[in-house]
Amino acid sequence: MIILGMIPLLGISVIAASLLLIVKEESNIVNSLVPFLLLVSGVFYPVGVLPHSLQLVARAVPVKYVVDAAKLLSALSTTSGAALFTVLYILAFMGVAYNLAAFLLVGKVDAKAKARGVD
Amino acid sequence: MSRLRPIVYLHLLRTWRYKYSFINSTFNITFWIAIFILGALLFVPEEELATTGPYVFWGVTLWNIISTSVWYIAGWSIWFFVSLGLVEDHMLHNTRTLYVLAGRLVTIATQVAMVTPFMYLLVSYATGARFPLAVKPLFLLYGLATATVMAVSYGLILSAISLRTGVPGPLLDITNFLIFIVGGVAVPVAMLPGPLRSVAVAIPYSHAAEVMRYGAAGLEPYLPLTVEVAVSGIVAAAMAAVAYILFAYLENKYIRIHGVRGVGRM
Repeated sequence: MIILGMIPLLGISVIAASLLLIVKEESNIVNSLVPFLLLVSGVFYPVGVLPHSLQLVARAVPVKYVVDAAKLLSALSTTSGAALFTVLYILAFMGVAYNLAAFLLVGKVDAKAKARGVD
Repeated sequence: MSRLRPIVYLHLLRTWRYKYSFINSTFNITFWIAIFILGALLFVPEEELATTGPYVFWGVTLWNIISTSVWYIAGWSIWFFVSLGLVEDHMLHNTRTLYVLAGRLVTIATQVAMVTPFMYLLVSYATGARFPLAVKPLFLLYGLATATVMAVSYGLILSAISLRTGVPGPLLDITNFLIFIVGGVAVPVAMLPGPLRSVAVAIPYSHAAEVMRYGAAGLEPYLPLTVEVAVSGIVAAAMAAVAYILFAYLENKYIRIHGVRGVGRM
């Protein structure tokens, strides 16, 4: 489950890394990704306590589903496995979607960087 | 004044040039504080949420000022100021290192101004109340001003130690964390457990925080108000004096003779 949850995160990381090539700043501009993912993933407390807008954003964050699955497994609160498989399907879909987006974006950024140079 | 203008311009220009890092930093601080606020408020009884709002909001705002000041001055001095070789460069142009580093207040103020509205929205949402920002604005401003002077002075003192020892930002993490937990910043001193109150009273920021809370929500300070006002003013002035004296010694008796030796130098 954790490994499956890491696959979409790889895509998100590549997207963030592509942005670094565009903004070209010396410090790491992706520092805020970690606390953001922690905030909206329900790691520390349920996503339900967040403002409604952040709850909507949380649906697009893969870590939320890993946390959901961990809760389901640790509490053995599902007997049919339907809920667990829903989470697995969502993570699999996100893995494909984010990595596809990353693949397309990094190609464009790479072409732009080659044309413009990176100073 | 003619020497301060280029320093202010330098920091404004640098903030603009590194705008993405600056915005990233704003979100970084906001998210970390949001994680803390939402977590802490989960344990506050529902009927007390509305009254807790101002303390929580101004507590995190004050901590943001303290934390940002220390990191943006003490951290920056070694990791950027020394690494880029700017100490000698400024001294050759007859510009004091102290003034350049104190000029970071421009960046700090901009950062705090960007984070604070997010914090207000978040605390308002979490407590379900649109609380007034101040009931006695002068006391609030006095508390914030003295805390800012203390924080900037503390950042400069750490910076002076860093420039002398070559160790970047000694004590940065430990002191920031301790001050927030037991320093009377997060919660009023009177609400801390018995022994911790004595510790909080010994930490300078607690006096400024008590004055600030009195101005923000009318909460009576742990010590009499006049004592808190006097202590926070005196401590702020004393810390500023210590920072000034340390830098005077450092610039005239150390750097001119030995140069700077930062670990971060590349």
